[in-house]
Parts: sequence; structure tokens; C-alpha cells
Amino acid sequence: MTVSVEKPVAPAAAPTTTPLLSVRGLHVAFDSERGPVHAVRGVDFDLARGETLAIVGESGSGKSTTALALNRMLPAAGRITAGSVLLDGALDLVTASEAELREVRGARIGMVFQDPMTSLNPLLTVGRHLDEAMRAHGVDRRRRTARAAELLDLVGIAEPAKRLHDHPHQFSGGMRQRVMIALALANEPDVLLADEPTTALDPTVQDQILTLVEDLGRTLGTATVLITHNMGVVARSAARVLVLYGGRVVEQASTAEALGTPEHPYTIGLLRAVPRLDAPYGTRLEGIPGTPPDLAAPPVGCAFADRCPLAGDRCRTEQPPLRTLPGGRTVACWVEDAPAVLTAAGSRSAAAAKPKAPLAEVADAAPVLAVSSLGKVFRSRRNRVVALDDVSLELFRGETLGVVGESGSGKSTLVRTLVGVHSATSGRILFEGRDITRPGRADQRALRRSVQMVFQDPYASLNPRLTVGAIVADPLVSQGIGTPAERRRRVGELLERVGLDASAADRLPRDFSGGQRQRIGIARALAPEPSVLICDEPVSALDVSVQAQVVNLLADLQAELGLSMVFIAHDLAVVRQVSHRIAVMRAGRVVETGPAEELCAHPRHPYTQALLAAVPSPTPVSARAAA
Amino acid sequence: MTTLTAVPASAAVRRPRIRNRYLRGLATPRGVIGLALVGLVLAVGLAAPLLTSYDPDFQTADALVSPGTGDHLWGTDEIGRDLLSRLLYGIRSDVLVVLAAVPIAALVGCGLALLATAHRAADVAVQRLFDLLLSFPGLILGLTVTAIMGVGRGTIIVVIALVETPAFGRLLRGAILVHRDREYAVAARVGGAGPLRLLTRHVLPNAADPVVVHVALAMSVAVILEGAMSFIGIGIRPPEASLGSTLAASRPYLEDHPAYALGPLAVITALVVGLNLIAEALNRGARR
Repeated sequence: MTVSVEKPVAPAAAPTTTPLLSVRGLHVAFDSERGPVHAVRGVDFDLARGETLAIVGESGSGKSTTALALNRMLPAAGRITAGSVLLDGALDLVTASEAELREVRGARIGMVFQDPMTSLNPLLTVGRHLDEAMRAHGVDRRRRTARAAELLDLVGIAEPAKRLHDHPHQFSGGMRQRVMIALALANEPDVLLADEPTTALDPTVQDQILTLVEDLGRTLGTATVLITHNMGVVARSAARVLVLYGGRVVEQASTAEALGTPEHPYTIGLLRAVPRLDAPYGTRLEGIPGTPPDLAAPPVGCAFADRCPLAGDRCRTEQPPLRTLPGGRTVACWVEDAPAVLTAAGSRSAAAAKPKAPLAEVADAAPVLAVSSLGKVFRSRRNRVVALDDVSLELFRGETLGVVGESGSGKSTLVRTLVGVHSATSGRILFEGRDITRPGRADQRALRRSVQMVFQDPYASLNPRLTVGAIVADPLVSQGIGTPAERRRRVGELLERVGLDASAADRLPRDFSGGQRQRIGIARALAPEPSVLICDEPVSALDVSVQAQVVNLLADLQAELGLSMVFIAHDLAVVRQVSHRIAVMRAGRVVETGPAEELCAHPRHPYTQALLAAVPSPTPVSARAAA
Repeated sequence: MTTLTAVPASAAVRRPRIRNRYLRGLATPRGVIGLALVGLVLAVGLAAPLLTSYDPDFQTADALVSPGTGDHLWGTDEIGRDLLSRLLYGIRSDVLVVLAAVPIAALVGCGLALLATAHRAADVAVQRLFDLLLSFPGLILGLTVTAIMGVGRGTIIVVIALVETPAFGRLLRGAILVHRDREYAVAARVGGAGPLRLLTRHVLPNAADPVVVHVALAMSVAVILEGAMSFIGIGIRPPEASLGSTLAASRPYLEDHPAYALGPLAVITALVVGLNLIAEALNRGARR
């Protein structure tokens, strides 16, 4: 089957120098109880035909809002307050009528969203989705059916004609994202807006989707705006990068320049916070301290000034203009030689960083926690799901065991079985030599005291109705440890230990950012002085700059308190960062275990090799080739 | 150790003045109007003996179905009773019924919900009981219970309680099931919380919102149901004053004496609108 690219050749009259999309002075504000929140504050950029532009930044930097504003798809509370978005240098999408916009949406600008699980209507077949997208732009009926099958084939779905009749639930997450891309491409748009298209997907699937987007860009000449927080994805797919912070562009450069020789302190910090598989084992991550600015009251000076190690007086009082450097890259910073100054400072801290504490000789010591042939089967009326299948693992004293695997590999079931939230179907769990597979009351009590857990979602894992103090003290109260006064003192100590102020105890969780909430969760887990800490994807919901801080905190706590830790994540680079040993899980089984560094350097199992190969490195391709 | 993350100072400024979320919801224009409407009706009902000098059952022979005069501000009914006085005392009997029935329904419903979420077998039994009750339309249930218990205030209370019990039960059961599986509840279990502590400290405070909102909503349904039952004559029995029976008695005089019907209508409307506004205000407050 061939792909028809017979769209009317774009207005040939338009001179080739006119960018496809030209954004100037874009301002977006959201209404809130506290007055307008200025999410985007003057963003300028051009998008050329066939180009892939990445927009990166932490959550709250305005990257998604910028993308949504391009074809006026902002939520009801948001509005464009100034600026222009010129399509072909002619039609201003900011002032265009709804009818004009409808002509543009889907036909000229296609969109792919983050979550493929909720972006498709479960009641409609995939064919129907594609059909409606084309009907909205007047493709006649006979062509639509043929074209729908072509599109599925284009995005790499086998037996396209047959799959047209399937409903979304019959496709996996990766397949659904392919369908979303097919939908976005149905009318052969000139621009594809992809908002974190692979964030919800596993690395091997992410790899396939990125390859697909690249190939389509090449064959169809589609320009892509790729919004992502993953520097690896940027390095792999984008030609040019726009770094956003506090609703403004802080740096704009080619991917090789931005990732290889970043100019802005924020870009430099962001890159330093990314855990790398190719960094020497034991290198400490560097987070960016502080939190992004409150855009309801935007700072007068540089938005990054409060978190910037180089900030001077001028940075706090005056907005830095975008300076153009040789090679066409632009950067908004008052400090002219930021990279040099930061590198000097950075090398000092790198020298000070202590290597990961070597694991004491434990070869003959008994494991703290041992799991042998553990099995867990979930049964419902119709289904029988094997979540864990013959899993055997050992955790030694003072050791961090990393567990990696893609979604559905059984990682979360494993930890929940370990802490007794689920009961095992078969196999045994030994804690300090005692069988706790089906714990009695006394065992249960001992277990609660010694084995604690840090959860994935910092928003869902804290009771919103309790103060932070009550949350941290909860395990102590539940287990009847200490008097109220002792507990209060302990809460203060714990909060300071995880890098929060003791006064946080009187606040509610909603007053805190994601990273701070995760620190609260860690303080709660440490409250009963456990010997084993189980972390279930503790950093996967956090921005890289915050992720680095939490990873460092956990590593420090592990070393200082001599904890035995199980660290679960889907990101191999993060797991390698904190673990002594790594276990790789797939479909409920452990396929490979080994020392962290060795496993990453010389994977034995084909699945581990595939997993490692699929993780995109945040080093620009050109630099990698040179090395 | 990692950098000390300062807690943003602005968080303190953002803290709302009123900490209780329900009170915060009620302190909005919507909530204040609702409270004012319901409060006004309650106040005149309570102050009935001060506002009128007539006994609601006292009959004058010289004024039958008369419009407002100097002696009888709101006029009299067909047997010469003062309408204002019957209206004010009618509010009392109405409010009494609502205030007795809704808490009973809430307590019984929530109790059954707790039972249902504690035991699988109990859940099946309780769910079928709720199905049974819900399969009767309110008025049919009213007629059935009246046939068994006879006409009277007790009957209305039982009917309203029966109608509202499944609603409370289902709401709380659903909320408990949702919140019990939330990550913070799992975290509490890992922290060592027993079933009782889990329920009282973590699950119920979060699951209570729909129940609290429904108390206001149930009261408005109760006002309508009481009115309807008294209207068709199976509720509060004459000569005792009630809004529904006054409305029923006014029907022949709609053209000559519209104030007769307007009084009870206005009061029922004010109560229902006011209670619905309160429910919505509570709901919005809880969602913050």
C-alpha cells in the first residue's frame, strides 16, 4: 500500500523564506481565584516546513499552554492576551474566526496528546475515528474508507483493513498512540503538535513511536512541534530546541548546541539533573534547588533568578533580553559567560561528591528480605492474570536493589505483596529469617515497624484532610510509638532530615509542590525507623530537576541510616543511579539480576539489551558520533 | 544532605480565612442566599406565636374565605380559620417532619453502608434491600406505608426515611470503596493502621463530602414529599395545620382568593430553592 501525498502543493506563491508558523509575543493568561496567572509571557519562534522543533521545560514552564494556544485550543479559563500566530505568514490564528480555525484544526495543524488511554472515544471504532476526522474536512465517503486503512498501515499497524473495525480497548497503549498519530495525520497537516506523545509509554514503545514520527516527518514533509521534558527524546528527534522557563523563552538553539554547549544557566542545570547511563557509575546528580516562580505574580527580573547560582542584582530587577549569538542561537541571560562560570563551580562540587559507599562484604550474611518462587494471580470472574510468576530475589543489609521493568511487568505487585497489601498466591517471603508470607498478628506488627514504603504519586499518597505533621506521625500513632510530645519532636526532626522546614507540620499537603510532597512521604516512611525502605517509582511523577534532588536524598538516607532499600522505576538510568544491584522484570518474571554497573554495561538477557538500547541518551547525536 | 527546600512563604498568604471547607462553601453568595431563605422560613415558623394572635384551629363565624382585612392579614379559609396563623404553624409541622426524618435516613443509610463495606455477604444483603426500596416511587411507598400504619405524622417520617435511606447508603458505600483504595489509604495500612483507624482517620473524612451535601438535598426532597402526601390527604391530618393540606384545601378558591394557595406555595418554594442552593454551595466548598 502506498501513501498518497497528493495534497495541493502549498501556495507556491509564498516565498520559501516565509516560515510555516510564526509566533510573535505570545501571552496567555489563565483566570484563577487569585487573579490572572500569566502562564506564557512573550514567546517568539518560527517553525520552518518539515522541521522538528522541541519545546522543553519543567512543569509549569508554559510549554503545553504554548502548544494549545497555537490553534486556540486553550481550556475555558485560559485566553491569549497578546501576540500573533501567523500561518504561512498570512492567517493570524489569534484573531481568526471560529470557522477559519475549524478549517485549520486537523487539516493544517494536527495534534497528538499525552495520554493515549483517554484520547480516544471508547464507544467508536478506530475506523470511525479516522472517518470523522476526514469527513470534517470534506473528504468524500469512498476515499475515506480506503484512506483510513492506508493511515493505519502508515503508522505501522498490522492488518489495517481488519483493525479498522476494532475499538480502542482492543489496542495497547503504544498502538493507541499510533492511532492518535494516524488521526492527527488523516488530513495531511503541515504542522503536527505533539504534547508529550511518549511520556505515558514504555521506553521500547517510545522508541518505536519516535521513529515513526521521524519517518513521517521525512516522507510527508510535516513540521513537528514536540513538547517534552525528556532530554533524551529531544536529542533523538529534534533539530532545534526552545527552552521555556516561567512562561518565557530562555534559550533557543540547534539541538547539538543546546545539549552539547548549553548557554543558559537553566538549560545547564536541567541537563546536569538528567541521570545518564553513560556517566561514570557513582556520579552524583545535581538538582536545581528551589521551585518555579508563581506566575500569578510574575517576577520583575529574570524568572530563573531565584534558583540561579549566578544571579546578580540586575537579574532580579531587569528582564534579560534575548541575545543573539553566532550561529543564530539566542539566549536570555545577563551573564555572558554563564557556562564557563558554572563549569568552574560544577567541577568543584563534582570533586567533592563522594563516590557511592561501597557495599560492605555481605556475601555470606543472611539476606534481610528473601523472596522465593513468589507467585501472585489475580482472579476475576472472567479473567486470570498472572502478575508474578516464580519471582526469587534477595535483599541484603545496607543494599539498594533496583527493580526495573515496563508497565505490566509486575513491579508494583511485587512491592505490594512484600509489604502485605496483597497476599501471595504461592511462594515464600522471609524477613530476617522469619516466614512472613502469611503474617500473624505479632509478625504483622514487627513488619509494619521494619518495612516501610514510599509511593509513586506525591498527590494521591498524602491524605488531603490531614496536616503534614499528622501525616508524618500517622505510622507512629497507628503503632502506638511514643507520647504526643515525643511524636511532635520526631516529626520536626524527620521533616528537617528530608530537607523541609519543621514549621511545615502545621500545613496541609496542598500547600506543597510535588517534590516537597514526596519528601513528606519519605519522612512518613522513615517515622517508625524501618530497616527496609521500599520505594515504588518514587520519582517518576517529578520533574528532572526535582527528581535529582529526591534521588540524592534517598541515596543519602540509605547510606546514613544503613537502610536496605528496594527501588522500583521504569527508567534504567535512575535505577542505576541509586542501586547496588539491579533486577530486570518482564511479564511477572525476573529475567536478569546483577551488579548495577555491570548489568548496564554488559546486559546478558536480550530484553535487558533491548531496554537499554531503547533509552534515548541526552547527548546530541553529532557529539556521540565524534566521541 | 540535600539543599534545604524552603516552604514557599506565599503559601501562608494563600490560606483561606475559613478553614472548614463546608463553611467556606456556605460563605459564598450562593450559600448565603440559601441560608437566608431557609433561615427566614425557620424564623417565622419558630416565631409563630409572636407573629399572630390567632390559634390556627380557631374559627370565626363572621369571615369565611375572606381576603385580607384588618383582623386577618392574609384572610381566612372556608371555615373561618386565620390563614396566616395556619401557614406559620404549618411551617412548624413541616420542619418537624423534615428534621426528624432526614437524620434518621442519614444514620440508618450510613450505618448500612458501613456494614456493607465491612463484609461481602452483608454487602449483597444491603444492596438488595436498597434495590427493593428504590424500586418504589416515593408516593407509592407513601400509600403503601399509610395503608399499613395509618395516616399521621409518624407515617410521613417513616416514608421520607425509607425513601432517603438508600440514597445515603449508596453514596457513602461508593465513596468508601473509592477512598479505601486510594494511595494514601494504602500508605496508612503500610504504616500500621488497623481497620478502625483506617476508616475513621483516613477514609471517612474524605468520603463524607457527598453525604454532607446530600443532607441538604434530602431535606428539600422531604419538604416536597411531605407537601405531596398532605396534599393528597395521606399526610398530616386536618385540623392540624400543614403546608400540603392547606394547599389542597385552597384548590376551589384559586380564582377568588389566590392568596390562600400562594402562601404555602411560596413557603415550599423558598425552602426547596434555599436547600438546593445550600447543597450546591456545600458541594462546591467540598470540591476545593
